[in-house]
Amino acid sequence: MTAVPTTLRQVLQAFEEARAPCTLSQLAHELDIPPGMLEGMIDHWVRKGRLRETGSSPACTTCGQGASCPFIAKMPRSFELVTDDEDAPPPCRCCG
Amino acid sequence: MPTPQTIALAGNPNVGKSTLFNALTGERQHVGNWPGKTVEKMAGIAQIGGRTFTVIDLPGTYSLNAYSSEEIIARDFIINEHPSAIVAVADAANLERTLYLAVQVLELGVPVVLALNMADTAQQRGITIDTAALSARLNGLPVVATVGSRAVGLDSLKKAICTQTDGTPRLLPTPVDYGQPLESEIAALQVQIEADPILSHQFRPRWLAIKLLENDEDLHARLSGAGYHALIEAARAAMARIAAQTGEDAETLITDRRYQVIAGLLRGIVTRPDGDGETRSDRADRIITHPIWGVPIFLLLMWIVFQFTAYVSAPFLDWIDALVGGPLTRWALAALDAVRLGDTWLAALVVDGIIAGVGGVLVFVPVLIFLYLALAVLEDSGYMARSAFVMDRVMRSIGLHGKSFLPLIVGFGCTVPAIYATRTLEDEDDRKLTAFITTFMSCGARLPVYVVFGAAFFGAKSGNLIFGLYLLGIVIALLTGFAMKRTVYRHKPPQPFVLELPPYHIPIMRNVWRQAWQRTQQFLRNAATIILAATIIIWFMLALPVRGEGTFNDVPTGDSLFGSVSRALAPAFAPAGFGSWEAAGSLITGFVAKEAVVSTMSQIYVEEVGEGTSAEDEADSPGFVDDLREIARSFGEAAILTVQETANIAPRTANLLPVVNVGLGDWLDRGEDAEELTSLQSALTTSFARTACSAERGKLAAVAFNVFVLLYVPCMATVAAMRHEFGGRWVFYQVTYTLLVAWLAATVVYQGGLLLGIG
Repeated sequence: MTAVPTTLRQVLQAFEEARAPCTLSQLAHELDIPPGMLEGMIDHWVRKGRLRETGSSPACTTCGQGASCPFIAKMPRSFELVTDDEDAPPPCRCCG
Repeated sequence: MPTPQTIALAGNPNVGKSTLFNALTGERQHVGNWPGKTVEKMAGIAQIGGRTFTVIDLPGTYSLNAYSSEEIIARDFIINEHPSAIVAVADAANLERTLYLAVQVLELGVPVVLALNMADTAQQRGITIDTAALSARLNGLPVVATVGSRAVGLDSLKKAICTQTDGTPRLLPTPVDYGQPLESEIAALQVQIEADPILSHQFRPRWLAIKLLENDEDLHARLSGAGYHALIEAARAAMARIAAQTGEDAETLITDRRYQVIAGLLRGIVTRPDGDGETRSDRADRIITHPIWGVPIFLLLMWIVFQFTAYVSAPFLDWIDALVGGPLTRWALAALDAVRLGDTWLAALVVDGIIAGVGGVLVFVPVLIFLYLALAVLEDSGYMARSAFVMDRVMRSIGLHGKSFLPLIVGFGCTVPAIYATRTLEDEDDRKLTAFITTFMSCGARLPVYVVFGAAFFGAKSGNLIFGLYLLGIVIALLTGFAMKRTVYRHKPPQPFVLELPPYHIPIMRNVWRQAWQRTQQFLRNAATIILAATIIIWFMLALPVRGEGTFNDVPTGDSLFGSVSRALAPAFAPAGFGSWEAAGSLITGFVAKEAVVSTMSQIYVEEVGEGTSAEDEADSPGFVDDLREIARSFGEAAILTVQETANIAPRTANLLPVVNVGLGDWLDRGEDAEELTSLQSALTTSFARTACSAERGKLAAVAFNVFVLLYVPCMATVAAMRHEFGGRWVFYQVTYTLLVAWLAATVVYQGGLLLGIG
């Protein structure tokens, strides 16, 4: 087998080897990829379940304003590695 | 009349596809749903070059893979409806990302026009694109720069659409070369597909072969259902061979190759002002999110926020206080007199209960508006998103994720959504712990308490008290997290993360105001519901005698039902220096909502010192017109002082440096008058000094009281949110812990202060 080096694999390796958080822009600079392209590549690994995206505004059900709640600031998106030994995601208590 | 040709717009979300659609079709649009889907279908009619076209706005998608119903809709439309041309809309400012879809559309073999939309944004960012060169690299495919919102480039786009749909056979762009071993496998599958007339008629064979290798689940399922098992098996075998030969799955190789092709297409064609790839935001972040300087910068910004909140809001706070305590109360009494209710208990309920209680809370609307304005400026400028990054090191030191700081930031506004914001954390233990410590972040509802006490006891230094309390909340939250990560939860090192930060930009005042006002409305809603109900209940409890010789509505507050209940609780707070029934009573109602602390204090403290509108006062009171004139005059004065205090923020910040002592502006030459206390503040200084036996000890007790307010359970809504998210047992731990911590911290502040000789 001859491993084919791909930029996509480098992106995943960067996540696997990361020891501290960084910004998308820093990672793009480090890998010498345009940030927009890196975003698309990260989306590829998110779809494949190797990375996880978090940070979109969570819905609050208390006062009925839901996603339009003015207190939920537009939280930035972030991405992290999905590890093999992870706990199951927490159950959603809204819909049982 | 010939059947109109169909063209479709395909593009990523937020690339301005719909504005281009509107520009092409004008008013002639029809909105419906795609068959069997809830996804909106936009169709319209356009006259282009004397020909009529049906224009379809396909759902915004990032690719033509089958990951979402939008992607399947877009793909099926192109495959099944055979449009005459596709307008592939890409974001001119982010071509590297948005060309991916265009490359996939090109693989479908349909005539394509490439629209580089939002060309104005790209131009503003200094990005230049050589569209002619790009067109040449794509075998003459029309490439048009457009600005959909201003119909810029629309004529060129229409011309390109006419050219691509005139029926002349055109050279298609060179297909993406996927290299070996992929190309061999694609070719083999292609032969199999071409051998089947139905399949080769329905799909472009090369495209279908690529999709099968990409493991497109939708197509695999459809072909399997249609009996093409041999083809599916062949595709699976090919995928296995590719993986064995390359160590990578076929889908990843195909995706990677497409990005390489895009990079090659754009090389030398797109130029950016930041040649080294580093934007101005990146350069600013080198300082602002610096591992060492980032935290002090964050603290300094927070200090400025609270200075701004405390001082800039003060003139309007005083204005509303004077309005509520003066004209509004007089007008209410006059109105009640007019309907012969002036001497009844109802008048007392309205004036001493509702106006004193709810009005006492509404006085703080300016404080909330200015706090939320300041926070909105930080959010809109792009700074707030960076706080998680800046604070990661601090959070990591206690074993928590930097992302845990984002719910804490939300907690500065309101604790309830902050608890729900913990849903962004994947780890259940981190989530519980973050929600647990979020309650220590000082929400907006607690701010009025600090403002009342700050001005009453610390005068010009009230901003420092407020900042100190917010900081204490963060410290207690971090200490709690630190302790729990080493006891209750096993210490798991948090995952590093990659954060997508928005670029810095100058805040748009319209957005800032809208956000601040929406948040303040929540405070007003609480005042109109929970606080109103609480003040009425408290008034009745204050009017009901349970000891002494008073009668209903004629009883010393200490002998009332509320006074008696509060008195029973008061000794518990004696070690913290505020063991009076009034303080204890305010804390009880604060359990319902923190705004109720001030409304209750307005009802009981002011009454205690005999504030109110007497008959003699009424006789001397100004007339309605005089009232209006005074309201207008004092409003103008408050406006001037607000501007003055805004201008004073810079010297106040500079004065933080020990060697600097810049004078503050005093435009109205008010001097000492500027520190005038409200009736509630005067009552508080008297009462706390009396309870603690001296003015200095009273000041210490006031700080302890504020520490307790900061740390104990935020409100009933928070308790309900915690129960909803984590269950009843968790709420029990939370309530017990916060009460314990609040009491201990308040006692330490008071007793520690005494030991240090303060008071």
